[in-house]
Amino acid sequence: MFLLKTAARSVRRSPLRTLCTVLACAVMAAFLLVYCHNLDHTVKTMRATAESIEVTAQIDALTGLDDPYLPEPLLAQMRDTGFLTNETLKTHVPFGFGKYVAKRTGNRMVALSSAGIDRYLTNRLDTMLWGEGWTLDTWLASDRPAVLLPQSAGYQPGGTAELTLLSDDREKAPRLCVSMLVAGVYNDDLDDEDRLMKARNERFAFCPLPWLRSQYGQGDWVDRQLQYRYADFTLQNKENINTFKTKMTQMGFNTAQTGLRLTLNDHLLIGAINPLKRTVTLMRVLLPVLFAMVGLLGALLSYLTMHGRRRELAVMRSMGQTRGKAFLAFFFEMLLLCMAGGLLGYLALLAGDRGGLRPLWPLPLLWVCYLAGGAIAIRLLDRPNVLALLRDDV
Amino acid sequence: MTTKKGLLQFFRKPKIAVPYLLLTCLLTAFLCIGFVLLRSGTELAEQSENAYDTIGVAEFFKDVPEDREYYHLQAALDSGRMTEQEYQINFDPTADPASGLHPYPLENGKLRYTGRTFPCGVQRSGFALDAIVQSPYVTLAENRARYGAYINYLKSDADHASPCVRNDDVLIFTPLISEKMTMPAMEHGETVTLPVQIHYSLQANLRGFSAIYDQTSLSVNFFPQDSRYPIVLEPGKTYITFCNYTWGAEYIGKRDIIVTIPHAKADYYLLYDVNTQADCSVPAIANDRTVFAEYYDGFLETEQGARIKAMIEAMSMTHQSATVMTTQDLRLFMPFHHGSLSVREGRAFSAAEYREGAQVCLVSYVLALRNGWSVGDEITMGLYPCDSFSAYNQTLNGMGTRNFEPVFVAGQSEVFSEQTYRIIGLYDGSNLNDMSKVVILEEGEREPAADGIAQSRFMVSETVIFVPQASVRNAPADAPASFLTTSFRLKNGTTDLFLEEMRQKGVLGPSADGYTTEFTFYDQGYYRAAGLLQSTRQTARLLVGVSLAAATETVLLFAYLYVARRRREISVMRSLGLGRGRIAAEMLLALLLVTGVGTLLGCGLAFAALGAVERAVLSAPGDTISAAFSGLYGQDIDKTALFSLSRAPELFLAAFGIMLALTAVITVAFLLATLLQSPMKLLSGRRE
Repeated sequence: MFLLKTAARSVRRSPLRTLCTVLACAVMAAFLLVYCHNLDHTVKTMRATAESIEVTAQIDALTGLDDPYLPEPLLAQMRDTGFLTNETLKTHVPFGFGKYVAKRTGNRMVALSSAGIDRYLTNRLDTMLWGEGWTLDTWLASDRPAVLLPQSAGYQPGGTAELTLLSDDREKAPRLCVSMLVAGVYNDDLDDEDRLMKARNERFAFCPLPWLRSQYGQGDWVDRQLQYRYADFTLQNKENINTFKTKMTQMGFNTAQTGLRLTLNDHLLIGAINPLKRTVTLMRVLLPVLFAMVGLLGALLSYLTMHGRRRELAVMRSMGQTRGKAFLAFFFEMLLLCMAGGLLGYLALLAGDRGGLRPLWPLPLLWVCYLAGGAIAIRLLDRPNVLALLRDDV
Repeated sequence: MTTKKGLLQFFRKPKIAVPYLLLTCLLTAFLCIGFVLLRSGTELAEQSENAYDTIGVAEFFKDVPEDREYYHLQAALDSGRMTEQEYQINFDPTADPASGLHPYPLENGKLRYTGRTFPCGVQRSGFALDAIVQSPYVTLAENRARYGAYINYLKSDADHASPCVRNDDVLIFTPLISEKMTMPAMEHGETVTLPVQIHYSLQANLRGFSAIYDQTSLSVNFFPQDSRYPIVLEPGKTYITFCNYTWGAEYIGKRDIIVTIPHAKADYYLLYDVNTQADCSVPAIANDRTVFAEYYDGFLETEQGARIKAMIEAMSMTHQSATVMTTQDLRLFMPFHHGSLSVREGRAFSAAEYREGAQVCLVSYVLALRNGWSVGDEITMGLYPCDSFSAYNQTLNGMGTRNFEPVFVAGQSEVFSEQTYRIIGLYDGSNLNDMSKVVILEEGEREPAADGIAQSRFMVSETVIFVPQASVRNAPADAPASFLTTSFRLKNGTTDLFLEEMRQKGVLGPSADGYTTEFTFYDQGYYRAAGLLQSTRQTARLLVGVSLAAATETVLLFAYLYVARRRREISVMRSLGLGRGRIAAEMLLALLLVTGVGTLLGCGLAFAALGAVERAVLSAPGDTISAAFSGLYGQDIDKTALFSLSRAPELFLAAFGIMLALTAVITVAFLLATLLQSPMKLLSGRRE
């Protein structure tokens, strides 16, 4: 208590010096607080910016001349990375009416995850006659064998159609004869494209993707794999997109191994995030340098401040104070000043509309640096004998 | 002398002088780093902000007739396939008002449309970009011109090409018949099997399909343009005709193909240019009804034959044509801006190539594959005017927008420049004839419902070749404006201001000539990130403010201690008769010298430290997002890899000056306060 009282008295004795010291501590504390806040803020900005940018991934054939063949297991591996969200998938297989399907038929059974990705279907949705209880949404989500057929095929909504599907259009594939519920019938005499298709004897039928997917790996198609012919995705966790890219490289995209080309629409992400990442790295690298400098500055200031107090120290020692007690008296004084300065800096920033100022850890770190510098200064000045100090020629 | 004395006095107490030197050195380094951090932080934040690119696309709408028949009739009149007299006999409502079948009266060669209209996106000739270019918010605006580009032996994708390229042909054949045949007009799909010997096929010649010469018979749908004059075939005679296949010529011999002879093109597909009110679907046989004639040696030298020869040449040119699109910045074109098209191999144009009009081009990956081109190859193109844009509406245009199908019009088109371009990049992407992505606007639909749909309107043909605008020689003056060709770059975050300006200038909204101009903006989500990035810059500025305050305060404290400790010396010097000015000069000069040395050392320290920091930042492994799998432009990859810490000399100079000035001003203030006191008072005062 006595030491604290002594310290408090010393603080009051020279108001100008006290003010200068407190202000010096305040601005140094403010600097470090703002710096760390800036770093924290930039990291948050980077994350928020990364999340605000939509990044899509699209799969194409490596040759660029045909639709891709993306096998289901490869897609599952992509999903396992945890980066994929909002998948848009489409596939198609050859089909025929009845129990027969021609080897080179132009009929395609298209399975898709959303109607919007198929222009042909989208343009004919308005003409669709839906069977009872069926809508576009219920049909898309269905895992039942529900098919949308062209009017010219002669089926009625709600009826059944005996169809034969081939599992693959590239190789000799086993057939799947299936009785499908006709969920809807669309007008296939709408425009020139329909006329052209009729001339080519081609027809499109549509079935829900979940149902077609469930046919693979069982029954006649037990050893067959579903191949997607169109796939695009939206990515999440974009800040760590490098991890995704590394995994895609390992999986063999953009090489003959898969024959698939992955394209990420991430030029904006790169353009916007890379500079922020550089800023964060720069600030992180500079942080210890700046702390060391501020600490050293604090130590030098406290040394210079203490240097003028040698006579006081000498008087205290001649009055019988031990070195330890004299040290503590000065140390407490410094403690009071630097804590007051630190808090003043913090409060000034709070008042200056930096309400969300975080983190606060630079404050105690600054105190430690400043006090360490001051302690060294006291110990250095404390060594000469009292008479020499009082002679004032050092 | 004064300085020397001052320095001696200063260094008489090295326990103070050396820490002060260190202090100055550290403070200067501290300031330097603060400035550099501000500069680099601001630059990086700007770089991040500049990654966002806001473009505006101009669209023009006009109320146009919705009845397709109107276009057919007007086109027939325009092309001369039907005379005014024929129209009046067969179609004019005044001839048979009771029928109600022919609603459009003919007035001065034009039909007066009396039916319903709807607002349709159209091309607008003569639209002045000036108002947009002069806006302070616009940094670049352009009207991209499109030209037909004849490339010898070009192989394009026939399935995506214009029907006139894919399905039309010129045949010279001899019917193997024993007696004269009179062929009246047949119903659609009705055919007769005609034994033939084929002597010439334009498609076979152009595309190398020789199967047609093996055909011994054809399923023909005879369709004379005028049903009153049936086609007559005589034994032993050879005929030349313009015909159309139900399938592409490549399927001849593989599938049952019906050949329509002669082919009345306008009835099959119609491209009506709303802007010029003209049909542009039959350019290859413009104003020529002679598409079926007897062929004999020297026929092509006759007047009738010369027209067919010109038609053959026009078809041949059209078949081997790509579309050249000029640009001043690829990113002003929506698919590249959106990222759905990107440079797959090679690079995009550099600023110098745009500026200097370098003879370089970007072709699609698919077109390059088909033609065996690769980056670095050169292609020679004969450029001819062709901007057959029509209304982008399904009702009017049937299957698609067909905005990239150049057609060489016989007797009208002319090559204005033959140039050789070097391929510097191959572009590719999801907007490239990906039919699954195409959504065609329906009647009355103006606003895109979602970004994806808006994007789909910009489907690009793989035959489009991009070249720098300044590279085209002898280019026709005016490029028509449309949503495909007219776009501009705005400063980020200024769309509202720009719209207000355009409203005030009368550019936005309906105009006197019947067009309505609208703008659509694409900012890549800048509005979501703008606030975040701006606050980052504000925080960087605050940091420098605080570091300046720290320097000031430290100097203040030292100056106070320095002067306060010299009070006794000052009083002694004053007592000995030294003037205030001399004392002040002695102390100040010494202090400034020491400060100068310390400051210089600090600048050096900061320079070295920042160099080390730069190396550390650059070597940070895995820090930045890699460009692997990215649909980037060539030069963008380099841009994002660039990083340098700005160690500009002016920043160090500023820190040096600020430190000296602070020391001088603050020390002088304290000295003045001290010198104004009497020596006795100074002696009696408390020592620091």
